[in-house]
Amino acid sequence: MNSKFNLDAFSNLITLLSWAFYFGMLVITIAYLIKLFKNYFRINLINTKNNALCFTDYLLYLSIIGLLSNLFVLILTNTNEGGTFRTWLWAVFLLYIAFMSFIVSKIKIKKVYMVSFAVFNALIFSFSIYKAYNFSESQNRNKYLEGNINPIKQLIKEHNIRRIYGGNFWEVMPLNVYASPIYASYLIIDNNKITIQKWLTRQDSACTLPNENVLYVFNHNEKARNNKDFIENEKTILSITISNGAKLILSTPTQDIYIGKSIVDPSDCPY
Amino acid sequence: MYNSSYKLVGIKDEKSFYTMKLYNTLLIILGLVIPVVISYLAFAQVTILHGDQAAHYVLATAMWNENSMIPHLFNYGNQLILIRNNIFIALALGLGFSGYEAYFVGATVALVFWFFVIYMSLYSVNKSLRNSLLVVSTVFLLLLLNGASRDYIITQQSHLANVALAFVFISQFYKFITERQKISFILSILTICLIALEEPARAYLILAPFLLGITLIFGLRKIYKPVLLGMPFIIAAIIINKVIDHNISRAYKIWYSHFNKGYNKKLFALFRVYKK
Repeated sequence: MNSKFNLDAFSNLITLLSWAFYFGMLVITIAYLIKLFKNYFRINLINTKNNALCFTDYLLYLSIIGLLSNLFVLILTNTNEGGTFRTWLWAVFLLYIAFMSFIVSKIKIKKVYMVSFAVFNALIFSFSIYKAYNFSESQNRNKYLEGNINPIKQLIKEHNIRRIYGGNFWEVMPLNVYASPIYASYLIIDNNKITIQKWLTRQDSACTLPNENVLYVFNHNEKARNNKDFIENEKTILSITISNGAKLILSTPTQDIYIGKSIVDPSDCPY
Repeated sequence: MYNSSYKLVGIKDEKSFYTMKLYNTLLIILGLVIPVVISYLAFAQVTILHGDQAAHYVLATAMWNENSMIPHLFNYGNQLILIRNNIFIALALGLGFSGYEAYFVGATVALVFWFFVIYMSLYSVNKSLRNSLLVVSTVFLLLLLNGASRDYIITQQSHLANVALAFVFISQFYKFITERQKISFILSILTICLIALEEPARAYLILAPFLLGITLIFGLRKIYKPVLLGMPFIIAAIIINKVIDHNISRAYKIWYSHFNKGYNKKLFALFRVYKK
């Protein structure tokens, strides 16, 4: 395309404008914070007999109490909900809503400007989508799809594969989505038996027919290698698959794929 | 912000009444379109779906194959997964989508649904479609900027329903206290029961600061009746959760002690200074 209109330059301009928009929101938020610290600590909380507390203030108080209490829970206990900051996301959300509804309540403009604001926002979004697809990260995704997924899809077609196994949760589970009709799960050794890990997997992914071939996928992705939980497990599973006569069918810089009979214990299958 | 006088004005003047109606329907349609754009934007930034996101898809396939909310073929992790994007992905699978498309469609529909729920809940309190739409859409844009909240709320959606239900619970309770409407009280009890039904720990983490906050804000005299009325329902939801949780297939639970140790050591080190 040799048009004079340079889409890249235009989208750069738009992203600049959108960053200006976000920066403006940040400035407003900081101004609000300063005002808040000046005024809001003078309010007597209990003195709300007749006229109800403003909804924004109500949200603000609850979110601050929520953030503080969740911080103490994080320090003092280990919950199975996860000792991470995700437990206070609802309080963060309330805080955002309180900030924004305060700011919006101060804006008094006409309908026409509102509609034009909406159209402007829509323009920003649509061009930032265009920009997002040109990020290096999404090129990374194309690399992943072309380098890792497409060869697996081809092998699935050639050998009528229905099951894929591996040793690492983070590498194997996405294959369920990207190589869609197959079931992929990761293996562990439990009581000298090789079973699929019963953690966010389908139990019937252990089921195979007597003479059916399955794929074993072992990834060389450095990010996944950094996850220490699965390194030892992956090594043992790899050695067992090789000793059970699985053949290396494809070896690329990113992954090794073996093909062979299933090594999963047959009693694992529910039917 | 709080008066709804435009309706009265509209009855007097027909022209402005119809333009107002058109304007409001436009705002409602925008409330359905903006979350689609936001999810499209979020998924454009996400490189590869990770294991937890894929697990929701696997659960959805099991749900669709068995036609059940709690499929016995799926091995659960720490928690029961009931009201997340799994329902919407299963519906997308039923419509004929598969793989990444099904995930994307399901997640987008889930975002539209919960976005609209938050929008309408805020509208019921501040009585202004324009303001609530502006607030909710800018808040979701702010969530996009942070990687963690983008993952938990918009792309993975493990906490989207939790956040939305918590907001409905808190805002409807406010509406009940100030306007004394029974329907808002029922809604607030229903939402906290849904949270407790999925994971009681999340309900405790919302309820404890909430009870402390409302006693500070409104005083014990105003809130003791609704709290006492609501408690049996919440306890029932927790018991039902325990019963279901006991019967689903699962190998073990991970207690995130190894995640917590780092924070604990650093934070307790602050207190140890005073001991010495």
